[in-house]
Amino acid sequence: MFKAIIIDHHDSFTWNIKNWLSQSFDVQIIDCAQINAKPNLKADLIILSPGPKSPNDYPETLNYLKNLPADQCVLGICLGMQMMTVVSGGVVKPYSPPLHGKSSALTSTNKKMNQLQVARYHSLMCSVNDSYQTIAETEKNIPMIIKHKQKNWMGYQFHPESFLTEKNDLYLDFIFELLNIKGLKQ
Amino acid sequence: MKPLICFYKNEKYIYSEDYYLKSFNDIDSLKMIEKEFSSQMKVIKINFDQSTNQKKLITTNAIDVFILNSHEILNNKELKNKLNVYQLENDSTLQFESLVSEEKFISQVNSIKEDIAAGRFYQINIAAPLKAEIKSNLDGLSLFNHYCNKVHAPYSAFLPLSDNEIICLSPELFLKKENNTVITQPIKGTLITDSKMSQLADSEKEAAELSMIVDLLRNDLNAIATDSKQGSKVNFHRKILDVGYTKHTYSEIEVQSQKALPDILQATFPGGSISGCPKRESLIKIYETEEYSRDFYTGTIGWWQNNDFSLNIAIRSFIKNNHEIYYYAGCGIVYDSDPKSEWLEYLTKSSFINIQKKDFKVLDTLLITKNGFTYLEDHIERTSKALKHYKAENDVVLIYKQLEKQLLAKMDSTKNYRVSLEFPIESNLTTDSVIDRHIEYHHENKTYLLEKKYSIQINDSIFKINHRTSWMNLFNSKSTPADDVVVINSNGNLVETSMFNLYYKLNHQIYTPPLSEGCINGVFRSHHLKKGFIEIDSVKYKIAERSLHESEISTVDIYVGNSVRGLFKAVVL
Repeated sequence: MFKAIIIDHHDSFTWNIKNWLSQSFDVQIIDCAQINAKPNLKADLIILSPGPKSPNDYPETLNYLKNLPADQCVLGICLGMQMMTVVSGGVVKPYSPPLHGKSSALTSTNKKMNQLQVARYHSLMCSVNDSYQTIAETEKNIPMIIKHKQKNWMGYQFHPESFLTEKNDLYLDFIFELLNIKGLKQ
Repeated sequence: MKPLICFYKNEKYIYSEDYYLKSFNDIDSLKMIEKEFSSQMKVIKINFDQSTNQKKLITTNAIDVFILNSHEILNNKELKNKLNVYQLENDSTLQFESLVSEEKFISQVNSIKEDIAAGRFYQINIAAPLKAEIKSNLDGLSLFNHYCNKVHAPYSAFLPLSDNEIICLSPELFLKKENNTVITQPIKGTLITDSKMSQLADSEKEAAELSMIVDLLRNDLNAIATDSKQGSKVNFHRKILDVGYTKHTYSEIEVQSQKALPDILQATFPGGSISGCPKRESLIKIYETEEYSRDFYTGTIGWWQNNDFSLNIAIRSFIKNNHEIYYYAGCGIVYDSDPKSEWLEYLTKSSFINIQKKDFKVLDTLLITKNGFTYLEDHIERTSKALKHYKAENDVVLIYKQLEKQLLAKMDSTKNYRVSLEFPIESNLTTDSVIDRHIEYHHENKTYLLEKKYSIQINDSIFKINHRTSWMNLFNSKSTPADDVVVINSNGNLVETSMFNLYYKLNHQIYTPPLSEGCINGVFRSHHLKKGFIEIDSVKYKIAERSLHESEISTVDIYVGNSVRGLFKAVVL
């Protein structure tokens, strides 16, 4: 089984993400305050969890993300995707009115996900630069799924683990479709 | 010992008069309780907060565990019977005032909304206390009994702590565990008093509030899941719960867990619905914002035996000592919250707590002649109805019959007497105390002169009770020629006089104003309405109810009447 590590930013949905990943991954949760104390984290997939506040409130995670090897698979969810955006030189800005605990339809050229309802918990939005490809968005062109063009990184602005999100497993499959997960060398 | 009461399951209650109390400072201490008292029934209370810098009201131990030496499981009716002896005194009053002003509350909501916009959290529950002074002796169990009869509180409890008492009327289940199934039922979404059901059922804001908390509780239950692949599941979402003073929406989430209570609490406490989301940051904000310590409020109360337990969210709750009583209420704040509506929600959740039990007495005045009481059946019927209306009990028939017998044996049979009674009657009446005065029966030709008096006051009772004194004030303000006053209500319709019901002749029929105008259901009036006719100067007239407007006075012949004095002509001045 593949191994995943969730870097938890003191969110209240982390165990839901663990549960969602557990179909395909053996999951470990690590407190974001502990990442400097654990320099040799090895996992097939690193997940940057959602959480309160904004990316710059978590300098340790931003620093950790910057120094990861280029081929490391990383999935950022909500705050996690915003961290990726910041590290890659994009902009994260307030979004009004915030959407918390509400769902919206995705628009995507990918027919499997187009028009599916996804759960949203964000008051900030990403304005990504051209190092990213936007795979799905929602009203007013807010990026919902992004993929880094060079790095093995992808981001979900919505919450794939929420009970408000339709077909949660689809977004687990996308991890394998979009990221190059090879499996750890034993 | 003072009874201890706690909800159990299937609408039953734990009742104990034989228990002892152990107190602790942290959840870890429960492991000791688990080891030592596993099979004994325990009722526990865990406070929301640890030590904080907030202002303190009545404080309790962080954790209280009642170990029950013996207890009964009672159904609703059996509990009611047990509690029947605990009744509020007739003069009990409780007037609560919020310790946080509307202005302050609204500024707190606005500060939270700013933080939400900045991404600090999605939702926060904020609470504030209300305080009432206890002026007379007010027993906690009587209060519990009183409120339980008023509201629907499936997770209610009464905890007699060493220095104070907790009266909990919670509608919300925090966690229950039976075998290895753990269930939670978070409540979010409230119907503000007097608004339409659709404002709850169709509201996107209220739906989002609950959805967030469902995701949060899925998370907390996933943290205790035995099998991380199985995880928690949502059994239902957004069912309506009617608690009497308002309606809520709630959901149910379930997980399989082999963990014991102390470990489960470490992962899930305090409850998501009364803290916020994300929980950790919300708790920091709660301590920053709320002026007063919550103490036990929004903690949990419930029972625990072997590995099973059921715990509520300790909301809609009071704590009292001998001098003061506090109630707390709170609301979930999200970005779309309108501060004024949240204040109204806070008031809605506090709408049932004031008590104004006036020292009412049902009055009856009747005439006794050598043949006994006049209109006795009608008096019995009216007094019984009035007492039933005020939920007071008296053996009315027995009282009248015994009194009649005593009076007849004692009185001068050539005279008629006026008898005044105040119900409920607690002790034996002395015949002297009830006889007012002799009635001279030579009034046949008297015409009562009535002075018009206007009153916008709404009478809350069709029965004659002692705090219905406003007519007497009008009577005392009348000018010299008038014998009595006739009250005219805000519709311009005639009501009654200070002593009599009104009657009037129109087109050869007699009418009397309906009770809806605000008049008393006098015995003389109801007696004749029931018969359908009335005799005046040896002529039989049909009688019915009909309103009489002030403008019609000159077109009718007015009469006044009651069961003691009979019927008289009257003229409105």
